[in-house]
Formats: sequence, C-alpha cells, structure tokens
Amino acid sequence: MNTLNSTLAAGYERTRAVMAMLFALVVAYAQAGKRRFVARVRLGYRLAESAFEAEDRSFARATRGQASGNLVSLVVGVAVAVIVGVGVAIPITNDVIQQSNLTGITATIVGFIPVMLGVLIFVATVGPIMART
Amino acid sequence: MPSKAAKVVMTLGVFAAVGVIMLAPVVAAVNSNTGTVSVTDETVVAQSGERVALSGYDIDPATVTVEAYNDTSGSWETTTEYTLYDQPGDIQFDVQNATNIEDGEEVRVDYDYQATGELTALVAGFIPVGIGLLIFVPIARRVEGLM
Repeated sequence: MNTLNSTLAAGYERTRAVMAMLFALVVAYAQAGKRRFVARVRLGYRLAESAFEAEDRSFARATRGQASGNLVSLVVGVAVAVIVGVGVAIPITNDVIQQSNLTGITATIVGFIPVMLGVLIFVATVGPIMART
Repeated sequence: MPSKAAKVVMTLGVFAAVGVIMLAPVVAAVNSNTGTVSVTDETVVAQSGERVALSGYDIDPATVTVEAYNDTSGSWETTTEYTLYDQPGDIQFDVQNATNIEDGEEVRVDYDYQATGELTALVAGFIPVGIGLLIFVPIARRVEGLM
C-alpha cells in the first residue's frame, strides 16, 4: 500500500513537473511569439514611415515645383490676357461704338464699356496678388 | 545638389525673367492702343467713288496728311484731294478730279486718332503697374521667407 502510494505520488509529481515544464514552454513560446509579432509590427511601421517620408518629400518637391510653375504660368497668362484685352477687345469695342453713331444716354452707357474692360483687366492683374496675401 | 535657398533664388530668377519679358509686350500693347495714337504712313488703295476704311477711328482732322505719288516728279507729294469721315475713320478720294491720285493707286496717310477715351487710358495706364506688382510681390514675399 505504501509502495502504491509512493508510486502514485511520484507519478503525480512527475506529471506536475511535466505540466509545469509544458506551461513554462508555452509561456516562453507565447512571449517569443509576442516579441516576434511586436518586432514585425515595428518593422512594418518603420517601412511604412520611411515610405511615407519618401512620398512626403516627393509631394513637397512636387508642391514647390508646382508653386513656381504656377507663378510663371500666372504671369504669362495675365500678360496674354492683357495683350488680347487691351490690344484687341478695347479697340474693337471702341471701333464698333464709333461706327454705330450712338447718342444720348445710350452713348454714355455704352461708352463706359471700354472703361469697364480696362478695370476688368486691371483687376485680373491685381487679383492674384490679393488672393496670395 | 543645390541648397533650398539656391533653388528658391533660381526659381525666382526664372520667374522674374519671364515676368519682365512678358511686361514689354504688355506695355507696348497698352501704349499703342490707348489714348491718342499716331499712325504714320498707313497705306490705302484709292477706289473711285468708294470710302476706304482707315485702321484708326475718331481721327483728329487737323493731324491728317495724305501723300500721293507723283509720277512726273517721281516723289510723294501732299494732296488735299480727299474727304475725311473722322468718326468712323473713313476716307474717300476724289479720283475723277484728282491730279495725283489714280484709281487703284496706293496712297499714304498720316494721322492721330483717339484710340480710347481719357478715362479708359487712365485705367489702362495702371495695368503695367499691376503686372509689375504681380512680379514684384511674390519675389518680395519669398525673399522675406528666406530672411
């Protein structure tokens, strides 16, 4: 009876030891897995961050390039608008007004059309300055 | 690899160069199309019994000089054998009775015309100033950003 009891006790102890060892192994495996997971997450984050920074630098370069390109195209566009407006639109308007022999209040009102064209062109030149302030 | 400041300076340099280049035709367009404009040696073809349109309108009659080619002397001579319609800017030559002008002959005309009213000329005179500001202000703003 004593022998049986001691055998059972020894078996119980072995089982406990094995279970403890298994538990320790599982915990260690889980911690290692966790470390690997965190390392993967950190690696992914670093990769994403570097990719984002590269894209951000590229975006900033593109923005600067676009800004300088916009300035040049703005000045060219305004200059062309002025040349067409002052060189074509206003003379044609004046010519038509002179040819039409208008009188009275109609002539007064229509006579202000070239003035308004001039104001419109002037505002087109000054407007971008005010918009960028 | 140029620095950021160098890039800004180069960009502004290109912008200023393009702006000043575009400013020249703008000033020319404003000066030649506003206020009183002088036309020299505009060539028109005399046609019997028909009014010929000049490029200008609202012409000052006191400034009109018409020259026709005298075949005998071989030179351009001033003539008064014409009728001017100053408001629409037309001219009609008395070809039937003229001594120097023949049908289909080229005639040279000098005149001043009022391209725009004084108010339009005043407003249009500020357009080159606006273009100058459009060039100057962005450059000044970037220079201020560098300081």
